[in-house]
Amino acid sequence: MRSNPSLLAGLSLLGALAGAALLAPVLSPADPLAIDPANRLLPPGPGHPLGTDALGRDVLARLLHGARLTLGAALAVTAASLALGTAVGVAAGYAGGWVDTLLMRLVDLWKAFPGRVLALVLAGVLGPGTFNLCLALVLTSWVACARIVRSLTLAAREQEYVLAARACGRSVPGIVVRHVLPDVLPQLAVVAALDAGWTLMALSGLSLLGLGAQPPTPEWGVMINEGRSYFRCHPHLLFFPGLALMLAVAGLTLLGEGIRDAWDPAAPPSGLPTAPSTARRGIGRC
Amino acid sequence: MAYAARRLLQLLPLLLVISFLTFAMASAVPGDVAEMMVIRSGGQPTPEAVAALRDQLGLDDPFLVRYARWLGGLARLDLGASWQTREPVVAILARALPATLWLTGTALIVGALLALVLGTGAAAFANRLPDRAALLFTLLGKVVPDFLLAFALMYLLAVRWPLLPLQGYGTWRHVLLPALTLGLGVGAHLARILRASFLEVLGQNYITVARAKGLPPGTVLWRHALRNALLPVVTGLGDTTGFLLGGTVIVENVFNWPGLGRVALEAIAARDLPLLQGYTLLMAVLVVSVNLLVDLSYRWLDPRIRLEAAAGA
Repeated sequence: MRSNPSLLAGLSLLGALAGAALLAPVLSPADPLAIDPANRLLPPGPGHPLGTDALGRDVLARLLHGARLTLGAALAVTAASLALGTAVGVAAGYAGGWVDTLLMRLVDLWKAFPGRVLALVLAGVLGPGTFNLCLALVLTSWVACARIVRSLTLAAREQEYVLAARACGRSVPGIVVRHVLPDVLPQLAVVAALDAGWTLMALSGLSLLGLGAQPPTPEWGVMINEGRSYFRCHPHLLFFPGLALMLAVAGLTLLGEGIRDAWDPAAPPSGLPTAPSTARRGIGRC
Repeated sequence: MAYAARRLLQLLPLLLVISFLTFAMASAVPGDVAEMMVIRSGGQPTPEAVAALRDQLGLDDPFLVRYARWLGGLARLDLGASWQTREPVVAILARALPATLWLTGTALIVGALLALVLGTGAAAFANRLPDRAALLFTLLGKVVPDFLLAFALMYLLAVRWPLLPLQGYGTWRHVLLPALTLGLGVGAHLARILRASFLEVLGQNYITVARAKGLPPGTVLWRHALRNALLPVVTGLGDTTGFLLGGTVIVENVFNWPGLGRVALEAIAARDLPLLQGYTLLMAVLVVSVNLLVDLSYRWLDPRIRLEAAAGA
């Protein structure tokens, strides 16, 4: 851990944010929904550590309660898209043949749409709301995971212990669960962390456009959207939710690179890619 | 040439499937669209009015019939009329496309210049201070969401030091802030690719030969190494298209830029399905064609691929 500063920094950042989200009711100085017109648009100061918004609500309280929804939603989306992507990837990689061809054609087709455009259209078709936005993001982001899991599965399938399990007459689902998945999952942790960062940005971006949680729900994207109109004179309304979002994304990125370093000590430290293939990940799906 | 023709032919089935997926996606909209439209136009949603509108829009036909009708129109470049304004979808998209191309084109230039400077600098001073600085910048480019960058640039360059107009459309001064917002992300991404491929190229024998001949380091870097190092960057441009088009949605909204991203948001707000279908299809077609161009130019830029293909054929 000491020799891996990325991992340490990422874990502590995310740990602090998760702690703040879990302890929001205890830490919060006020009710995140309590309107106080007499004290609207206060700058950060005593009583309101991060100031108040246009309706006089406490920014820190909204930020803390918002962390629960924003981070929770990003976590749920990542978990669901990993599950879906892993299922498709393992199926394609292990079955091979026409199943593989069909599933990979589907993945290629999905890739023809820019990730955020696809998420936007799906969220727009499903209608505004946190659940619909999350569903749209899951349906968008499973493809990247499916492709990686497939290639990992293809490699795992040829391992001797898998061949041995097959020779012993184990069933296909048994082999997949007991032998293929354990080989694939650790490497997926890197993908998951980077994927969660993308999800978090897309989630806030689309909820900023009014497609996610609706006001007055405390959510970071909603807060950024509400702060937009006041950003000339009261930039603190944008600054604090923006900072929280960036810290969370930075934590996830550091965590992902930290896990990669821990997993593969031969790789160059902290995201210094040596081959174009590793550098290509990251922006491609946005 | 034969290769290009073959690739173009392969594109047709892909576009057909894309069109099906687009149509299916937009048709999955929940609720009675006709009822919503009657209410929006100020009428009472009586069963007769709703039924008449459903009949007029052909909403009661089976899914495949509607798709076939839409596809037939598509073959004549007719994507139907917007439900909101009754204007042809193709006309709306054609009007918004130049603004988006202007924005993304400028962003691409900004990003390419940035990548050239940062990527070359980082590779020339690998693992030294300029390299570390460039790495920090590229990491920031990954971590800062574009909408926050947009607000930060607006605050700094239009409010605090009013050098550029805050929002709007018209002159080259208006395009700079949104293009900078999108271009910084592109530059960060491409710079990472360029640095990596530069380091790979600089380790090759012909570079050692060039150095051994006593050529100045600048000549080796710019005249000998850069050409080959740029090849992976060209591939990276394919990814960039999707990133830029995805970014326009939010950036156009923030900067009030009258492009395709804004059309999409208006279509979503009004549940204007023909317009949303047209937008989605156009996005996919743009991504697919840019990727095809990248593939083709790659063969043209790198003689090794052409020779391999010729030897394999």
